[in-house]
Amino acid sequence: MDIEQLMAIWQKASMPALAQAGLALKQFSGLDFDVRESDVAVVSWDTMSERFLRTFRNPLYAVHLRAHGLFHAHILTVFSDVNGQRLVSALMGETIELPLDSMGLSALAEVGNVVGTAFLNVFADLFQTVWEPTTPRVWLTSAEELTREISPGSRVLMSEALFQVTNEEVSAEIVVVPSLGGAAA
Amino acid sequence: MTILIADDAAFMRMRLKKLLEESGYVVIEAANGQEAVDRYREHHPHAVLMDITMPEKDGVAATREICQMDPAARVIMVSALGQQAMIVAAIQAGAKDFVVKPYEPERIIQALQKWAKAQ
Repeated sequence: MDIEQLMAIWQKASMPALAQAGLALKQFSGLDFDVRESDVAVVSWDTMSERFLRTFRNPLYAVHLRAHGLFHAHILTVFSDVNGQRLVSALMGETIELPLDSMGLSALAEVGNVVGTAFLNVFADLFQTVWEPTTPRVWLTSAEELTREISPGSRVLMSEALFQVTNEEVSAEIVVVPSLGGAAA
Repeated sequence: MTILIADDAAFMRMRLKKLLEESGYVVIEAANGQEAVDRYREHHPHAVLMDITMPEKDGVAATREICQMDPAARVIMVSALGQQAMIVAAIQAGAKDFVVKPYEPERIIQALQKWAKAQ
């Protein structure tokens, strides 16, 4: 299977994965959670970088999972700092200040963990194989730093997701980067 | 009844602790597998809720050590989907039950109550 075939299949995984993530977040938080896909595309790494630089002019929060199964992959869930703050505040039931403290970062990491794991579960169903994720890493960074730090793949799956919880609606970018050639960085 | 929660995610520990304390349990926390072994040795809790993927020492290795120290230890694995192979390893290491994350809070209470009834 080449990268284009793989990405064509993965693209179809985005909507069910986000639906599964919404259900999982609802179960685990006890809140009225929903996650929907507002856009999905397979794009080049450079296109993704340009979009990040345009979208995220302020600091951003990135949650990074690595996964290995048939091959290695990165899964990034990226929030603007303000959207990260709004989502964590909704989860914690109180207004949380920026920058997020360790508990806020942990909450956001768990959201990224649930989203990333939902993608892996759908991939596992599609390919009938197990994918094992690493523990999530969350950090405050910039679009420039992020696109430098994660090793580029040639093509990436990019989903724009809308998280709805209680009275908040926040958007996030989810990026899945396959690494067919070897270990993910 | 004293419960040891071993999870590297502070937010998950906070949520579980609140849930268990509201149900009348006393909670001890550990942020990695090694801490879990140390806390178990110090406190001998009635049950352990053990995450699988943790830094320093993972949940399977910590379960193995705890069960070698105390063959009657009641360890319940809390695992993400896609970790079936790790669950099998954890059961072989001595874990008595498992709960798949993300879980409904009631599932954790049910797992603890099931064990308490069996005693």
